[in-house]
Amino acid sequence: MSNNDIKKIFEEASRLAEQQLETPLRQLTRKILNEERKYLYSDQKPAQRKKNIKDFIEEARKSGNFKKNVRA
Amino acid sequence: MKIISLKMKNFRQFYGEQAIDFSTDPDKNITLIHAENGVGKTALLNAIKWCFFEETTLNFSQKEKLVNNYARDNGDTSYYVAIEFEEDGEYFYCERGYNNLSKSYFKMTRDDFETGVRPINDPELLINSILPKEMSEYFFFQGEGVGSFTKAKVGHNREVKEAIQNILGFKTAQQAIDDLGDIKKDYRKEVAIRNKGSELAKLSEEISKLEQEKIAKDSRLSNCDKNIGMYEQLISDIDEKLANSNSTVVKQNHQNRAKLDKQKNVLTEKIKSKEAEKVRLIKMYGAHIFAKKLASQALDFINEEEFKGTIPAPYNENLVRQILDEHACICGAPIHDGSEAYNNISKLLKNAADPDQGNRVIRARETLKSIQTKNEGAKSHLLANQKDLIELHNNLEDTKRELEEISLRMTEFNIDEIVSLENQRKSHQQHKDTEYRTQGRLEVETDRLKKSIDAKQSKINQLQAQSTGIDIYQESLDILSEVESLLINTLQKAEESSFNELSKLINDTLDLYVRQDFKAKIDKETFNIRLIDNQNRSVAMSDGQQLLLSLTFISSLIQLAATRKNAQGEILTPGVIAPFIIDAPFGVLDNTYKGNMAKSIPESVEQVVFLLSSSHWEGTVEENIRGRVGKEYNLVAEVVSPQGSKRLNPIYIKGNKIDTVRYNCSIDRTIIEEVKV
Repeated sequence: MSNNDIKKIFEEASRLAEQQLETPLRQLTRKILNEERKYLYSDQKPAQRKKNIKDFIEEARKSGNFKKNVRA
Repeated sequence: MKIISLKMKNFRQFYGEQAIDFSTDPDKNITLIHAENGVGKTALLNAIKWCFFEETTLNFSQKEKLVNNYARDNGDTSYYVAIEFEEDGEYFYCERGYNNLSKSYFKMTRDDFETGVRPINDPELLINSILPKEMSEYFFFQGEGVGSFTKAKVGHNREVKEAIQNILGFKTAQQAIDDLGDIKKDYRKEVAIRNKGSELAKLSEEISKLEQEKIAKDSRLSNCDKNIGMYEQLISDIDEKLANSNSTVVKQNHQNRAKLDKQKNVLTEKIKSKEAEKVRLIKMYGAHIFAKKLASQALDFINEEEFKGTIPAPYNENLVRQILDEHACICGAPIHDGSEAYNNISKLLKNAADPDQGNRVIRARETLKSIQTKNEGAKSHLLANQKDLIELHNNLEDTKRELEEISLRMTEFNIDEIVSLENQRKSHQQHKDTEYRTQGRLEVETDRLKKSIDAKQSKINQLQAQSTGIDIYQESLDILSEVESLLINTLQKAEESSFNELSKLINDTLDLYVRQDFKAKIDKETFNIRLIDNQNRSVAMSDGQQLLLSLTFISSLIQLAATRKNAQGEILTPGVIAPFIIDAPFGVLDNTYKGNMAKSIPESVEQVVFLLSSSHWEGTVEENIRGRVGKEYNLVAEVVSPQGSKRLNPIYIKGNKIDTVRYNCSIDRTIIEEVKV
């Protein structure tokens, strides 16, 4: 097995690992953090920020991806 | 991020328009700026920091006076700093300043090869997403006092802890954790409101008891009914016998009694109907009667205030507040805090109100008037009802008395059979009346029980309706907890791994540049950075060693940020690659350590800007970095007054004599001159 083959195997493994990392939970968490950034670095009002976060959670809940048998 | 150029106008001692092009050559990644004390090194560093973040370093004095004094004295209050930079192959231009109307602005554009120059809608957000403000202080760095990072602190070393957490992007995550905590509280309150399990069980039990009681009373009522029927039958039998009596007088009496009995029943029914009418009238008029005085007072108040002109308010509160918040009149003129215009407009708030207030007042007045109108018919209706009831009761009493008299007359006949029948009838009548009374009482009681059961059932329905959202909130709470756990775990892991990475980066530098066999160790509990010898003993650090270790720590932080820039799967704020701009970094370092640090820093970061005075520069620093200097500038102080007995103190760059000060100039200012060597 050449070095190139080994490199390809590792790259593929890394890609699969990344895919598995991209769970609904991580997506939701990122979305919330982006909202926080908007507040910290822009002119977003705190009440609007919390409302938006509640909306994200509601959206996530309705998606069904967070049901107990569909663990993220 | 790589800074390409800086242009500024009238910023502090830099009068007029002045510019610097920074080196973007990876092999010659140093832009070297020479400046003696007081000429403008710190001002230049702060020009960059201010342009990006509207902030300055702690040691920057009079930070509220950024405009050049000479320009201001000559009526020009405008100033700006503009920076061109590149980020991931894209080119940006940002400019922060104050225009001639003293209005601040910050604008940013993206120069795209295909679409041309386009403005950025939210420049503050974009600049912070490229280089977050809290990370920037380690990239745009004030070197004086940097040694304090590694001074052993009692308890936590807050500076080191904050530096690590800022570079790892903790700020947004911590803010998110706080927010999630608040939202959790909100959701828990909703769950508590909806969690009616125990209350529902209690109410069900109470209903069950009331129903049992009602069943018993219904049964007794049913018996009453039967008994009444039985007594009526017995009386009817006797009446039949009496009606068939041979005595004409008995017959006559009996007929009269039958007539009176009928009359008595009619009167009783009429009384019932009038009592029901009384209840209806009280329900209809009760609230209005009680509210009459209050309504009258409220109407008087509204009329009086309206007369005074405060209702509806003469000024729109929303508009007044908007003008004050935006500091601008509707005509566009600026309104500054504390100005006469600002104070006058603030005074309008005393008489201002929401424009909807007028509509609300009109509705309130109509309601109050209707209360007064409804009261008008109340008294006559209630009095008529009362009069009718009195009359009916009197008639009923008369009828009863006549019936008693007939009954008495019947027992006075000297006929045994009639007397016996009449006595039996009287006894049955008494029993029947008792049953009627019992029936009336039981009816009231069962009615009360029914109402009580209905009320409790209604409460149960209400609670059940409220409970419908409980699952939703519970589910949302579970999701929140998962996000919170992920964030907390991520922060913990990031912090833990940063200890190892930072220790390695610091020790790699120390291995190369420290004379002794010392290692650095970051205490995971206290965040103190210590030097330890090869026997793992803590070393008492000199000022120079502290400074060396602090500089190494900062440059390692910058390297750590760079490694995190493209990390996949990260949820925290990504790392950054940005220039390391450092003002007066080498302080108390000896010549060897100065040279070593000067050599080490450009090897570990992509772009470096050194702001150095001759004491930092001359000697080993020049020897170690000369080959990596891509651009070089000198800040020269131009002074209006004559030289007098002052010395010129030039600096020497590659053997060339370079001015640091010039006298007899037209303006007091600092100019930036490129050093061509």
